[in-house]
Amino acid sequence: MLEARELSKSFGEVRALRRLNLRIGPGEAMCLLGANGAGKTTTINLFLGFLEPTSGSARVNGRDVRRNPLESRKRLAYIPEQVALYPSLTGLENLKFLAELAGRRDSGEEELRGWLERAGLEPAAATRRVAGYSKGMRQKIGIAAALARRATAFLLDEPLSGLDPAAAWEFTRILRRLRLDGAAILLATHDIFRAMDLGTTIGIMKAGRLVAELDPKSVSSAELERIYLDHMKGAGREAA
Amino acid sequence: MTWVIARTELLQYWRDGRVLTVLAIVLLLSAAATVTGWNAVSTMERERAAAVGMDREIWNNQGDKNPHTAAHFSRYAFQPTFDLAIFDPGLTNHVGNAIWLEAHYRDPAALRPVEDAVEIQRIAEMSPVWVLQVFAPLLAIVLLFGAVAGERESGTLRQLMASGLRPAAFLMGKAASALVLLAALVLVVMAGSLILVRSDAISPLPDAFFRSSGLVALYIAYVAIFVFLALGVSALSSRSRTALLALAGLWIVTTVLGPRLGADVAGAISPAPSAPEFASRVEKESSDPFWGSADEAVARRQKVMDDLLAEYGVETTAELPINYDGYLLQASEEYANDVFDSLYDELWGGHERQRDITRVFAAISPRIAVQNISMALAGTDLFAYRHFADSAEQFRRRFVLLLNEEMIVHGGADGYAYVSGNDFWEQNPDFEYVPPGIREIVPNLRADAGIVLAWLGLAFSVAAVAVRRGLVGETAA
Repeated sequence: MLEARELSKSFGEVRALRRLNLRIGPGEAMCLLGANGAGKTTTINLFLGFLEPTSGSARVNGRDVRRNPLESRKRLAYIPEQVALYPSLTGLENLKFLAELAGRRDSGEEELRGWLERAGLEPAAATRRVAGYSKGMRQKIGIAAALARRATAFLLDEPLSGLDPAAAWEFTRILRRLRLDGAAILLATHDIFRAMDLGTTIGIMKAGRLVAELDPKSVSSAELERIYLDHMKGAGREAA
Repeated sequence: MTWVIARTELLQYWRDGRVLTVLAIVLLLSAAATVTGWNAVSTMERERAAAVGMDREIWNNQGDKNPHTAAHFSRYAFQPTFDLAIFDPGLTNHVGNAIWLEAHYRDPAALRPVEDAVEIQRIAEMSPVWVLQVFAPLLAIVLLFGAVAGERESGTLRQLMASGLRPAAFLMGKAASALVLLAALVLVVMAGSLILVRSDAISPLPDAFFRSSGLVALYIAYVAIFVFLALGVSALSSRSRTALLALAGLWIVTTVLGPRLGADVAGAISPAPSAPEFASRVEKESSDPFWGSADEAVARRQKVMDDLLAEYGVETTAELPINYDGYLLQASEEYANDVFDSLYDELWGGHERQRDITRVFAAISPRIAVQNISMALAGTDLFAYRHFADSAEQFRRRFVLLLNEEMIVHGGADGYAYVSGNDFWEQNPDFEYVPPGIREIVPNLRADAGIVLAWLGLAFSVAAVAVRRGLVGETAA
């Protein structure tokens, strides 16, 4: 579960996040839409414990991130826009390393391959060095690592940008399955259609504020796009 | 978690062609240096054995001669070259290994580079320790310049932090992987020297096991200093290229410039006398006050005679039951010995002052302290040389006394006309050198060991603080 209570963050005079309140329970996915600088990545960094909130709190699986940063990361998966891996290692070796860091030292090759398969990576690719991997393949290693650490909460920072439509569709499908398996997902994205596809809630952020929360079942993609664009008018001025 | 990181790092080193290339170059250099050192030490030992035999043969067959004349005919004390000189030749090639033992004179000839014992340490020679002292730090830098900065650039650091990685585990994992590789290099280089020694007739130093173990521990500590410095600098650098440049500068200062600068400054502040200047002073101060024509010398000789006549209760030297010429010669020896002690103490003291001044520069170069400990454990430092020179001098005194007593006791009224033959020379003992044990060496190592430990503590602290700041800073980026 991911929960923000009156969560705020300022960088000097700049208020990057203002009194954010959200709660993403098991089996729920919140997709945050917003222009660059709207506060999406700041929100994710606060959940990761990479930033200290100016006020309020971020909680992961009931643990206050600020007070228990290491504990709160135990069942948390983070997938950035570009999953960084060690290029001289194979996909399997990268996964083994990430799994062992998460405490799964007893994982055999079969189990590791199982996670890669669930993440959608071709079995033949597992033993190739990741230097030759596409972005989509790297994202799958990120997902497999999350599966290995039995993550119950996922933070995804624009993981779909740069993926071709087929890869983006497949990635969203995997995330949806994770959500249906009980994961709590917070996804920052610019992709309205994928947000509609995955989210149980759509949040629109503007100048550090969560200005709208929508149920994707209650709006069409076209309506969501119109609402989003209405909110974005003057966003650049406000963010500045 | 530490071992997981270390193992993954080692796997990446294995697959990194640059690391393997540098490692191969260092190993090749070490192998070449070891074989060169073994060849040099083997040759020296063969030549020494031949020279000892020849010296004995010449001595035994010198024919009829006055014993004191034989004392001027003289013999040599040859310093053995021991096994660990292959690993660290230290001053071996610069101080010479033969001391001419003659009456009335403590031979400084073997101390050729008397101008500056520290100066000669500057001369770089290819030896296994030179490879370890200069290239092992370079290898540590190649392994680790991107340890933090590179992970930051690639984005892996941020993901590792997100997965709950602790800074301490990250630091120790990275350090352990590099240390495993570098410690293996130290062991291979050391083992190479010892294996070659076992295949040849080179004598082991006393306590060779403790000395070898000490050398391995020393060089592991030395490379650990550079491992932690490299990690610290990498953590403080925004880019791996910046870290590499900073570390290259650090390497030049700590391994090349520091020792040179220290030796130059020591030589300038505390210059040692030139060899001819020192030899002339030894001769003048040990001989003239006893054998000269000045009143003081005449009075000194007169007192020797008066005391002896009184002791035997006779009026003239002709009435003495012993040979007076031989007695006077021995008295002059004893006078000169005090002068030698004083002058050589002064000379050694000068070298020690230079070493102490050089040691100040260990503040910018741990290599200086490491060199001192390494040479001491290998038995190739100034202390070892002084131990040999002092042992040779003690032998010279006993030997000259033996010859003078032969003349005193058996010379009677013949004086300088008294001669001994080959049957006497054959009974005379050889100089047999016993090098100092580890217990005698350890007290000399305290200052340098303290410096190495201080560097290690400092490097670890810098790395710990920098990695923590670097990782926390990374998360805030």
